[in-house]
Amino acid sequence: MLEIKNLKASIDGAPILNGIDLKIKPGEIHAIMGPNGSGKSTLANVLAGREEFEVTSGEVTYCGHNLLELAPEERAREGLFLAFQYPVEIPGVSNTYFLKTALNEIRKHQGLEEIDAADFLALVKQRMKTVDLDESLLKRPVNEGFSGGEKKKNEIFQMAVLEPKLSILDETDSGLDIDALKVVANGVNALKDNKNAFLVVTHYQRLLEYIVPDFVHVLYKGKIVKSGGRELALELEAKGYDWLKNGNGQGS
Amino acid sequence: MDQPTMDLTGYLNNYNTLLDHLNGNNDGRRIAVRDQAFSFFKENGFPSTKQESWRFTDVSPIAAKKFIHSLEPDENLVRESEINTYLYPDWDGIQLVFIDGQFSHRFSAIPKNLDQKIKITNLRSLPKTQQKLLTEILEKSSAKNDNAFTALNTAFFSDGIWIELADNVGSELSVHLVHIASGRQENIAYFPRNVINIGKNSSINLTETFQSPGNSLYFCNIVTDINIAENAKMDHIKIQAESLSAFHVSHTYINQEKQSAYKSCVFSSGSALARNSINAIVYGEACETELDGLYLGHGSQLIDNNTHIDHAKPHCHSREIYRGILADKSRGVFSGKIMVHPDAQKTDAKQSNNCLLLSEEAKINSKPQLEIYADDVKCTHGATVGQLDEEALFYLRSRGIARNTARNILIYAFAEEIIENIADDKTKNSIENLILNRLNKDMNFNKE
Ligand SMILES: Nc1ncnc2c1ncn2[C@@H]1O[C@H](COP(=O)(O)OP(=O)(O)OP(=O)(O)O)[C@@H](O)[C@H]1O
Ligand SMILES: [Mg+2]
Repeated sequence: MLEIKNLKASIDGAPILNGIDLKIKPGEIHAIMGPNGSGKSTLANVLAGREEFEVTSGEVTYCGHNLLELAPEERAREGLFLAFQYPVEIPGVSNTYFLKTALNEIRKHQGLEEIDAADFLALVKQRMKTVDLDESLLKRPVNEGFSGGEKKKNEIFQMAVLEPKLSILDETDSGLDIDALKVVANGVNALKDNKNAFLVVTHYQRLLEYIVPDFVHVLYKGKIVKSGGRELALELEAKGYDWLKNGNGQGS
Repeated sequence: MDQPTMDLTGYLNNYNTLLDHLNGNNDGRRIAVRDQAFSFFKENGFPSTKQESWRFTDVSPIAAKKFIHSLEPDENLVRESEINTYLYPDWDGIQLVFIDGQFSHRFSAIPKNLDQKIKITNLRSLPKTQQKLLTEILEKSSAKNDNAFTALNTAFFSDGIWIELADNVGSELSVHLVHIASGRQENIAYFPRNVINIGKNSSINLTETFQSPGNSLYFCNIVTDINIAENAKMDHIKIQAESLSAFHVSHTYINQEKQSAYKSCVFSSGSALARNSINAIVYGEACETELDGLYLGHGSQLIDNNTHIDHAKPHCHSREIYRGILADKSRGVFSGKIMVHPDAQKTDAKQSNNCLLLSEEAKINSKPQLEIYADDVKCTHGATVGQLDEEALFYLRSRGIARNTARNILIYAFAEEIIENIADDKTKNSIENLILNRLNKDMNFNKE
């Protein structure tokens, strides 16, 4: 589904990603961990198409497309979804209107008709339940005045409605209480099947108890310095990152 | 910049033509007001950018033009089908149509069985007793010597609307005032004059629209004198969406008596140069004054909103929210003067002008001006200028929404706060459509 080869990216001339290789197949869940500032969000944003980052070398193939050539909206229509680490507030644009527009753009791309108002409402109501989000938030402007947890849940709610093929979750668990954490995990597990995939960025192995990853990767200074199974997350929790920083983890 | 050069001979000729044309229809007193105003114009000429309130608005393009003044109505100037596009369908209120500043009986609709307490006529058809009242109003109005434009209006006006509500008119009156510029002849100038008097406890909703087919060059210079008596209410909406080659200058003078409410919304997206000036003199206690505005500029338009609220008495509230969206090389000017006199304790005045610049060449000059001579007051003002939020744009795009659509959504959201304040659905709709048209057609933000 996704194949990243030797991806390097920089911002304002400063290199941040220094050669990433990663392969994700349908049905898989990958977790990315790593210290603050190691480039996790940068990787997520480059994949979503953020233009501030300059890709200096490498290739990314996504479902047969050269991903780097697609505009952000084209990537989304092809089923790529990024749950932002810091979702932005958009005053004046209602959550419902926004989501309906997004869904219809994606449906149009898939050759489907626009969803009618009643069906949309039913879909939205059902998906809101799975993420335990209050219905009143629908009418409010996108993320405006939402609490930190509500913002994160809203990302998962959007994911649940748009049903992407590849979901990238950038620290969606940060700042969530234990119940909210389960909600996020439920959202992922409800969507998960053998055709879609997830890339989950997290600092805590706690989330991985609910979203069980097939692979765990450690990103350090813009490179994946170690990959392993889910037990790697436990090891990181116990030992921290220092043992990897010395280069011990190289060539896992 | 010095005094703009103008064609004084042209104005003199036009004035003599007018006097001939009036041919005794105006009494000596009326002519005296006209003469006085014309003298003011002759002596002072058009305002220069050295004058504080015209600092950012260079009117020399207007001063330099030779205009032909419209003197007589001609209802055949615009096709009926065209006129219909400017009317509200299924409008059950009163409809008053002006073509090139001249009242059209044929296209207007004033119910025959109108309440005796309501008088609506065009100035030309005003009965003698009220003609005298009109002269008194002209004599008292600041328009006669406020500036060149208002003086020109006083000297040259030939028609306009007279709305008079007696005290205690039970029902709320809705009026749609439709100004259409025919564009049949280049360089037409016209000077509509409106007089609105609202008696105690009465209320009116007035929507004024200014539109024109095509891209003709003309000059609409309008003055409106409004008096709102005790506990009376006026909801005043103006939609100015004229030809992009036209000039539009308007001055509205409002007097508010105690406990009255004046609420206005000025939507301005038309003409090469537009100046909307509102002057509210609040000389009664416990009044409400709300001035909203939304301006949309593109190409090389200049849109100037000039507001002035004068708080003379205690316990009055005023709120002013203006929003601008400027693309290409367009320019916006906002000046908001709030004067709080020593007597006006407990005044609560809020003002804001927020502007969205869609290109690097677009520009806004924002000038709040608070003069406060009372100590127990709450007055705040704020002005912001910004570009579209790139983070928000990326967020929308990352969900599959095309760049153009995402931009439109954000621009529209910015305008929304003003639009949602408009109570009348038909007016709201027509403003929404004007915005969407501008976004989709003129600014090339094609919906995908
Ligand atoms: N817009 C930017 N301008 C300058 N530097 C940036 C920008 N975005 C990211 N960086 C830098 O790139 C590096 C990687 O940042 P990134 O946000 O990808 O880290 P992260 O691994 O997600 O960290 P965290 O765990 O704290 O979220 C950091 O040093 C950061 O300061
Ligand atoms: Mg991050």
